[in-house]
Formats: sequence, C-alpha cells, structure tokens
Amino acid sequence: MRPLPCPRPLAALLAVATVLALAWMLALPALQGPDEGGHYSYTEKMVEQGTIVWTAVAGRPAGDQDRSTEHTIAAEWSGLEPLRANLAARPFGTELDERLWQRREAMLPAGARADADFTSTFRNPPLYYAYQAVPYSVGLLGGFFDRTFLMRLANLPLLLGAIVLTWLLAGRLLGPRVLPRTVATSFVALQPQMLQLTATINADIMLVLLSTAVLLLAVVVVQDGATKGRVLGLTALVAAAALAQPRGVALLVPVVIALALVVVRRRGIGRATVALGATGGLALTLAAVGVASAVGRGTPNQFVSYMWQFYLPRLDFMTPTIGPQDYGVREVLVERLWGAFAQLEIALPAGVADVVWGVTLAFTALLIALAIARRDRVRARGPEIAIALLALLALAVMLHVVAYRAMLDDPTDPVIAGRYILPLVALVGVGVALLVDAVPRALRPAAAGGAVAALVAVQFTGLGLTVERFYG
Amino acid sequence: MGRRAALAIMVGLLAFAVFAVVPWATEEVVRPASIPSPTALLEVGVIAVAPGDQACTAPFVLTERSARAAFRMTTFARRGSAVAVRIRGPGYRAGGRIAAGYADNAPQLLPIRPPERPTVAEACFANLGPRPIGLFAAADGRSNSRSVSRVEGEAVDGDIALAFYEDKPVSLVERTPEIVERMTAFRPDPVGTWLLWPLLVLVVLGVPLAMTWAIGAAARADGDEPSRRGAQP
Repeated sequence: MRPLPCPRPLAALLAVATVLALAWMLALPALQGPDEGGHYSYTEKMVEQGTIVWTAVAGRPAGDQDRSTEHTIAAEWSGLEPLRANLAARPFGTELDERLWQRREAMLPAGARADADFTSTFRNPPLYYAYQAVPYSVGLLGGFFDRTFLMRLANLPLLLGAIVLTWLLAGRLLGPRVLPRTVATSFVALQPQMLQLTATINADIMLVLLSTAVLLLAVVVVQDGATKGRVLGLTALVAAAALAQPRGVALLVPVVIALALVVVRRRGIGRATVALGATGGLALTLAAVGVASAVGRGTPNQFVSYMWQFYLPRLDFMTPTIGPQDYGVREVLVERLWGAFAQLEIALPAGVADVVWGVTLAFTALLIALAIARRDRVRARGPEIAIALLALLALAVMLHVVAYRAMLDDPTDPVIAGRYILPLVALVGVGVALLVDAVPRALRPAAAGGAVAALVAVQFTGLGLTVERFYG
Repeated sequence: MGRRAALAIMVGLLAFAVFAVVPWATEEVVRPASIPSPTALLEVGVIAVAPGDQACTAPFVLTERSARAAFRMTTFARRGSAVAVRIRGPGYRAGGRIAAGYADNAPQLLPIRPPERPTVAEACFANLGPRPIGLFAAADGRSNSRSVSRVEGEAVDGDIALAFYEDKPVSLVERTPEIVERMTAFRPDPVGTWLLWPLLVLVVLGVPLAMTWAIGAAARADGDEPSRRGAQP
C-alpha cells in the first residue's frame, strides 16, 4: 500500500509546529500552564485510585486536598509552586536542586500519589484524561517530572492532527490551490496560544482537534452529501468533543445545521419554508438563552446589558456590567488570545497589543467588505458559510451564558479566556487566507509572506517573553 | 522558491529582528541568580525578630552567580536596627551587616561572596539593635517554598522572602548558556543541553527558513510565482 502523499508545504508546517511545540514545552516549566496542576491531578487520581473522577458520575468526593502529596512536594521542592503567576519568582535550576527534591521524594510514604481528594477540574468529562492516562502510566517508570513531560508530549499528536485537519478544511473551503491552504494552516501552526496549549496538560488542545474535525466533516457533508458513515462520524465527533470539554457541546449547532441543509437540498424544500425554519430556530435559540439567563438571580436585561458592554461602550442609561469592568472583547481577542501566557502573568507589550487589536479590527472589517464585494460567491458558498458563522455564534453564545451564570456567583472572574476561541482557530486561518487571496495576483505571494512573517514575529514574541519570564 | 514570497518573509523578519529582537536580547539588566522564596503573590507577612534574636531560613541553593542578597524589612515605623546577615553552607561562609538607620520597608541589597559551585545554604538575620525588626515574608499557601523559616530555632508561619541577584547587568544573549542549562532542570533525564542547543538553532533559524520555504513552494505550486523552469500555464 502506498503511503498517502503529504504536500511539502504541509510537511514543513508540521515540522515547524513540532519544533515550536518542543520549544514551548521546555520554555514553560512544569505545572505553569493554565490550570495545569489540576489537569495533572485528574489523570493522576484516575490512574492511581482506579476511580471515576468526573463529578457528574462520581459526585464530589469528601475532603479538600486538591493534589497528591507527591505533587505538592514536587511543586514546592522545585520552586514551581511559588512560581505560579508570581513574577517575582523563578524556578529552581540546578542539579543540586534536583537532588534535594529527589532526596525528599524518596522519603514519601506509599500512596503519596493517591491521596488527592478534589479539585475543580474533576468537573470536566473524562476523555482527555483517559487519553493522558497512557503517557502517565508510561511515566510511572520514572518520576513526577517524567510524567508531566510525557503528558505534555502526548499533546503533540493532537496539535499535528489539528494542523492536518486545517489543511483539509482549507482545501474544502478555499479550493485546491496550495498558497491559500498554506496561509490558513500557518495560522494554526504559529498561533502562540495554540503552542502554549500544546505545551500544557489541558483538555483544550483535544477540543481544538475535535472541533476542527467536526467542522471539516460538516463541510464534507454539505458539499458531498450525508452518508450513514458521515452522519455517524459527526455524531461520534460531537460526542467526543463534549466528553473532552463541556464547551464541545456548542458543536451541535453547526452539525445540526449541516444535516438540515442536506435535508433541505435532498427534499427540495423551498426558500419560504427554509426562512420560516430559520426564523423559528432563531426564536427558539433566543428563548432558550433568555430562559438560561433568567434562572435564579439572573435577569435577561442584565444579560443583554452584559453582552452589549462586552462588545461595545456602555450607553448612558446602562448600569455597569456584571463582572470586571475592564474586561471585554479586546481583552479576550488580544490580551488573552495572543498573550497571557503561563498563568496569565506574561502579557504582550502594550504596543504589540495595540497593533494586534488594530489588525483584528481591520481583519474583521476587510472580511465583511470582501463578503459584500463577492456576494455572488458568498451565496454559492452559503452552506459552508452558514456552518462557519453558526459555529462561531454558538460558541460565543454558550461562552457568554456560562460566563454570565458564573459571574452571578463570582463577579471577579470574567470566565471567558482567549484559548476558548481556539476550537475555531482553523476558521480564522481560513479567513486570513481569504484576505490574502483577495490581493491582486502579482502581489499575492508578498501578501502571504507578510502575513506569515507577522505570525512568526508574534510567535517569537510569545516564546521569547516566556523564556525571559522564567529564565532571564 | 517563490522569490517574492520569500523576500516578503525575509524583509518582515529582518525588520522584526532589528527593531525588536536585537534591542530586547542585548538589553543589559541585573538578573536573578536564584530565588529561594519569592515575595508574596497574595498575602505579605512579617516575621518579627526581637532585639538580640535571629531568624533563619533553609534550605536553599546558592549558585556561583549569587552575588547580592535581596530582602526587605519593616522597622515598625521606627529607626531601623542594625542587622547581621550570615549565609552558611558546607565549606562556605558569607554575609554582611545592614547598618542601623535604614528606612521602613526599604528593600535591602547586600553584596555577598558567591560560592564556587552551587551550594545548599542557610541564611540567618540577627537583630543587633535595640528595637524589633520584621522580615517580609510570603504568608499565603500559594507561595509555599522549600525553605522553612525559624526564629530562635522555632518554626514560624510564612517564608522569609529572599532572592539572590547577579553582580552586574547582563543581556539575554550573554546569559543564553545559563538559560539553556536551567531549562534542563526538573525534566526527564534525556532532556539535556545536547538537545536544547540544536533546538534553539532550529527555532531561531529553522522556523523562519522553513516558513519561507513553505510559502515560497506554495506560491510556486499555484503558479503565482515563476518556477525555475518558467511560469506554469
């Protein structure tokens, strides 16, 4: 059997992503990724105690010890515990430090890996942690830091898978030409938060892979039709995404839309019926959001006000939004998506953040302008665009409802982090490629080169700041 | 290779290197050598030391670059008492004296003789004056460190905030060998400097070159740029 051919630009992007992921894994000391200790504890408890950790099944266990004794000792004796989010701290960095920890670890009693009670990650469904049980178990041949590193390494196939799927998705959406696909895929391979996520034990990177797979298969379904295998595949992928991270549930929306579009086409359902169905769906969604926001202490008015102020300046008659006053779309799309590395303490320089915000606004405006200018082509690609837009909308609505509900209890935490956008990173890459492709042909290679140079620069900025923060 | 695409990437990255990377990597600042117990992230505590008493913290590792001890004291809004600082490890002694009269809450930076090699050490702060002093400490669980703080031999809550800095400003470029070495700590055994140096080269040179090649090859494949054999139809 001949191996599948791998286009050379894609091979190069996979090599680049591998190198960068390894660099991030080494730049970011163990346990310093977002909530990394909690995600490690999940797998640790699952393997060591042989129990179901997911609180939806197992309930909340008694006791408040949020990590095992071995984990606590390793974190304190490596300097990694006080390092978390504390810019005044540095990790210990000599062989002597390692020997001190090893001596201390040798004194641990049996069961020191199995005595964690509960941490908030245990509310997550188990798929990612079951996957991580494999490298964890292999790492039992070594010590604590062997396991954390192997678990990070196990994220690499998830990143590479997301890159390959982006390549395929871009081919479906942009056509067979190689340059647009390369630009779209470069975005995924170089986005710094993607690389940090790969270097962190965290279920989000699995969600990125599964989301990209769902989007690809949904597009295949609307382009080529819904076979039994494809429908089963979509169902399995959405279920897997929801079992990897609860936010994966939002993928149901584009999937339902894809299947509905196939039914519409197959049965020759008229425009009026489709419009009626769409209006009904929208009304149903709005009602569901209204109900979800109004449960308990929430009110639809406050929710709408929160949504408005998240994206736009507060109007005179509005009361201040729930939650942090200075946290909105810019903070999510710039500070938290392109910066806020480690445990949020590594920020982009202010000037860079301003440039990224300007580029984000320009990107959005140009994409809208392009859609208007090429409305005939947009119409021809209606089903694919509907899937993309509804995936984005579903994720945004879900994030806002969940964030609003959470802020009713704790208004200090805005909940929505930049990495929550990453499941749709492939679509953003496709958007960048569309803009590059809209440039006159003679200038297109230069535009592609410029876009990729900017991505490399932002990637190096994130990686460099991370190295400096921990080792400089 | 697609020359226009390659040129665009090269020019963009060259500008990035000249205007951002070089100034950043060559800026000389005094950098930390080791930080046994950082200042608190959430809750600052004070470990009070009565006249004639001493507070100690151990164990921690001093490196051969640890040339200044940094800590902070409160005088409880009175004139600061003199403090003797003694740092001891196997075959190693260093220390100095903070003269009386320093300001309340002022950061202290005491020059010390670095050890010849990384050394496990203990630092003690003896109050030589007539008034109590308070050593700043991290009092939140989040900042728990390996070191244990004691006053007159009795363990106390909180970790005395103590850091060691290098003696002169250095740039990141000068510090690269040290950075590479430190990045191998608390990693699996196979992860050594032998791996990190080639990886550094691959990141700094390989990534830009591979991206340049990928975009150039893509442009050429689409016929957006002429190949060496001439433009494709």
